Amino acid sequence: MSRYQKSTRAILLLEQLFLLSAFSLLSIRTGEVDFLAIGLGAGLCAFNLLQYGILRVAFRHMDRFVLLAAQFLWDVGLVVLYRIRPSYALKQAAILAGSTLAMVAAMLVIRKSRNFGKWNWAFMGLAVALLGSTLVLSRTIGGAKNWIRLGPISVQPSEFAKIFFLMSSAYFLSTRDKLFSFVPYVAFAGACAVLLVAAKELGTGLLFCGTFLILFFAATGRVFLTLFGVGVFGAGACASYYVFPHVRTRVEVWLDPWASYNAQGYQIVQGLMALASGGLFGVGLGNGMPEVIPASHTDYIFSVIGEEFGILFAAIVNVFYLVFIVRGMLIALDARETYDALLVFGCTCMLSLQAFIIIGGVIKLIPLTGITLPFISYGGSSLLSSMLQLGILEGVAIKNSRREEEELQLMGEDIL
Amino acid sequence: MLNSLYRVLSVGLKYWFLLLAAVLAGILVVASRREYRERKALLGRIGQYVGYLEILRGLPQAQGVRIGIARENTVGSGKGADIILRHPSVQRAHALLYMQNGELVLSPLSRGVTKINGRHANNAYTVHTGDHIAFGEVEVRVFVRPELEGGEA
Repeated sequence: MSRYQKSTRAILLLEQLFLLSAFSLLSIRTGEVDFLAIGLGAGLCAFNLLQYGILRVAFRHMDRFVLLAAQFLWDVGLVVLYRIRPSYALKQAAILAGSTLAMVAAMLVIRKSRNFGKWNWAFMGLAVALLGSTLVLSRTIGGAKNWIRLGPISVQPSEFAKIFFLMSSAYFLSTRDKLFSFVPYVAFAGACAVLLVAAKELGTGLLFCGTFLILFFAATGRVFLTLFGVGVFGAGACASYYVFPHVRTRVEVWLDPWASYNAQGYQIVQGLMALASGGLFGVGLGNGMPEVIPASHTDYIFSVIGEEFGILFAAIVNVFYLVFIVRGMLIALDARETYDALLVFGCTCMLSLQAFIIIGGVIKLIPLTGITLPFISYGGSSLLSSMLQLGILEGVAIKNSRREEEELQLMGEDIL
Repeated sequence: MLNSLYRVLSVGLKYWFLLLAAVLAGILVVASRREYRERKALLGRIGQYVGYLEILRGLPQAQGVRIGIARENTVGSGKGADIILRHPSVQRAHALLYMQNGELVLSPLSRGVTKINGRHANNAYTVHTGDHIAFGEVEVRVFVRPELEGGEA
């Protein structure tokens, strides 16, 4: 393990270098020295180093590369958020510190746990209740009813429903083998999808459906049933196209955003123009115009990155997601218990699909459905749920490499 | 002053950010790939063994060395042996060591001296963790994985 200390240390230091240079640049943007930016940059630097250092000592077996990839992603996010509006970055940094604790809690729970048995029925109920609660108590933001106000903070319950969905999916798919015994689980997944579409949260609905289909195929290997599921999903998507005007607008706007440039197509067009004006190398940090893009700090943060840092940089951000995904899949492959494997695979699928759906939407590859870019976008619930998924990944990684170390201790590493 | 500095820096630094990100991604991809491959290679090599022989006496330069035991091995001083003990008292093909019904069996092949815990072995005998085997003058200690000694085919 210590052989890679040099590489991990280099990655860690270069990441802090990125953070420091970006925040120093932002500190002189307004024409006078902004000490808040310098302070936030230094603070985040210290936070990252401390977080990595403490976790490395506390959990000797954790997967360091996944954590480092995630660190770079939230570094980029915080820089861009500070550039858009300093208060966003401050709030996001506070949430980041808090959700690190949640991540550690998830690591500790997953490291010790088995499949939670009967609790999964409660998880299913909670997930449905969370998704249903948005329909009853929500207020509408950007056409989607997905926020609940709890005093001073707004929460997005669907982000937490994701975690429960993943846990109960892994439980049902790893403990059942008869087709009939999947019925409650399939009904549950269907209910989630219907509730999400009813709340007009199309992106999250797509995310749940995609994760469900991928997980179902990975767990059971049944080609025809999965294809049947894809068919049902397609039929549902077509039906919602005809039933909900919201969906129809999304597709029409995707096909030709310029036709409704002043109305529904405005966001897509602004995003595309931002990407185009950035070009390969970008216009430079702080020289773009993110204020003309609606939701530039949440859904459209990718186009801000593309405008100010250039599309090449944005492509490299995708490389970090890829490292995350590949390591996640390898952790899933190494896991001994099917439950752990499916749980990690589900988390990896969900994060990668989420990144794909929103980046694809921003670059007009697929119809735009508003969800957050994991680790980068502004949003407490989203960051917290991404961090929980990271914690689950690390927890299983700890389990795996503990077992590997036991094996090495038993036989000796120097065996001929 | 700061404004013009900012304008110059923001344009110049975009290449720096790109370079930094590219280097970071490169190191991350290469290092994580190598780490995984090396870890898997080591575990794969160790995983194929059912146990090991630790050399106790007779070969001073290889004292304490542990040699992995596969499912079937020949022990001897010849080049063709799986477990090679270069000593004049060890025959070219000295003995067979193999798994049978979840147990490790030692079967002498030649007229060379083979002892298990100090007693001459002329037929096939099962050996267990902690047993001392002497091939000629070379003495080794046996270790078999505990999960195999439980009795698995």
